[in-house]
Amino acid sequence: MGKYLLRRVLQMVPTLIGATLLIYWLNFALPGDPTAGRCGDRPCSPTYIAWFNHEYHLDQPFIVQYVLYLGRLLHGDLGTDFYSHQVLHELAIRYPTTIKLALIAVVFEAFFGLLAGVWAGVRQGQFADSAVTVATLLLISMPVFVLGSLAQLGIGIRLGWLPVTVSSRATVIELLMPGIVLGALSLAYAARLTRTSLVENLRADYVRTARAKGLSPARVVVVHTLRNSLLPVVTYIGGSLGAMMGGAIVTEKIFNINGIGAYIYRAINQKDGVGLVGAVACLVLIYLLVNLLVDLLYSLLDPRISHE
Amino acid sequence: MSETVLARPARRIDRPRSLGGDAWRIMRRRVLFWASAALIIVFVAMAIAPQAFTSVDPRLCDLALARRTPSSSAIFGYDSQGCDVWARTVYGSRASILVGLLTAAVTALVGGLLGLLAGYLGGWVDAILSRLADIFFAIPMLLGAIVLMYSIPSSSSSPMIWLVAKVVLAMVLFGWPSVFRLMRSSVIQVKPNEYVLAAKALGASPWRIVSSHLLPNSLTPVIVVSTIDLGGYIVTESTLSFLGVGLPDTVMSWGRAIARASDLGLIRQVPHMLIFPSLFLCLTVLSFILMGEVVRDALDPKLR
Repeated sequence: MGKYLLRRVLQMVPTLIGATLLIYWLNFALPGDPTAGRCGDRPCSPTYIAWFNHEYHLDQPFIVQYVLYLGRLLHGDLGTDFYSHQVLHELAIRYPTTIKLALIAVVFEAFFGLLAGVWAGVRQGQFADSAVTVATLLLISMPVFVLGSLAQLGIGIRLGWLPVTVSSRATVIELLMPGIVLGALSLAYAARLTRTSLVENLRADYVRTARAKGLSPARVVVVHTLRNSLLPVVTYIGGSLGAMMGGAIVTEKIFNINGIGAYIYRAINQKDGVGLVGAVACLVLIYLLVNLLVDLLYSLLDPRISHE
Repeated sequence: MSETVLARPARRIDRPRSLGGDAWRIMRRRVLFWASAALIIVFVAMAIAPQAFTSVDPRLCDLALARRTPSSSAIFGYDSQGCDVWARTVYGSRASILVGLLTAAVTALVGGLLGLLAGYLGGWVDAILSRLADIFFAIPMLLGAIVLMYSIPSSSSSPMIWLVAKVVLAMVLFGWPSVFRLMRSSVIQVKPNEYVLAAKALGASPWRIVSSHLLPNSLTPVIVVSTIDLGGYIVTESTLSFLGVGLPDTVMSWGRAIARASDLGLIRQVPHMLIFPSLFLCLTVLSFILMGEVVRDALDPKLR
């Protein structure tokens, strides 16, 4: 296990370097002016541009720039944003809200996704199965911003069940609707995956044996089949974090939540390149780490995976 | 004489059906296939010739008509600027469908070609391409596309095709690894088969091995995934446009239309401005996803 862990971590190093290099290159080496927007609507003064180029080492060769950038990144320095605030500090203020939102989304996704998937899988070919298939297809074809706006219109304004926007306190009740909206797409995929994997496993020999032994159908499904069927679903739920990060930008904009997503949205619209790239780089790092954790968890859950 | 007469029908039965022909026989029996095909045809027709669906000029807006609800003169009503929502929705289909089709095609081409190279050649080519794919795969598509779109500036006077190409490029850059991995693994599965070894032993050129053995036998998953992903690309494009980094307001698109309608005050007062573009967007995505699933069911014998 230790060896496997080490290999997995080492494998991640080139990916990490490549991903940060790519993001860095996208921001500073592409034709756009990195100082655009940093001085309001006016173009920046030559002194400011000179200072900026020096501060971000843009006067150095590209590879030197990148290595210096990586060094800053490792020290937790993501640069200073539009308001001369440390990007890392700004993210640190906002992350509890985003984590709360993501947790609500994941809990919702995992619970209802599994429930719907198991329901459809057990009743394969019956009404429940078709109903879940249709519902998940509808959810998949609905972009997060459409679902969010429609939820505001339907549940928030017309029915008045849940608050339409989130205050600065960001209570769980306020975050309930945004969380559900954020988790809905992944829920649909999780349900379909659970169903497929359950149906596949229900055909296996060991399930037939368990049935032949006279075990109750519930025990056959829950104890014998579900444990094996859930493995791909666990990986998927971990990996769905990547889609959620994009979704969080949209959800936080729509519901006026002051989290990391809203910070990115603000950075886009105020042309705050340093803030945008800093926040995105941070999210990509988190995404990679979570994927690593999921991989390790997977190998713990499934002893069949060899660590050699 | 009698022998030839007998042989003729036998030959007709034995003639092997191609994979495509086989899939077609299965697909044409399914209602879902015809339903999604009909929807796709309607939307593509709308994208090609929007003027056939509406006689109203979508850019002709009259503030006096602003926020009018649907009526017989404008079946989807008017938006907050007094533009005809039906006309704008019809014209908006072009950007979404163009972006979706182009992205799916280019991603399949780039990812497929590189995957074929990596799977066929192996060795250091495979090692380099696979690591490269890992890097691009590590960045969630929407996040990467936001940074890329942000970094390549374009003025609103740029021609539409350049604006569309930029969005396509952003999505292809972060979308090719999944096609690459798929193609690579299916080429690696096909390569050690006896018929490929036999062709090699008979002195077939690499080009012949690839074009007549590897490619036809490993293309199926790429086709299936590309069709299903097409819907996803339309979603990503509209999300980028919604966030303000995708297509600008000068290009009529569903993403921008929904972004303008999703202002809370407008949702309250002019909900039809939100509902109709959303409906078209979702229906388009749905029809492509359904089509992809029907194609998958027909092409993948394991699921039958």
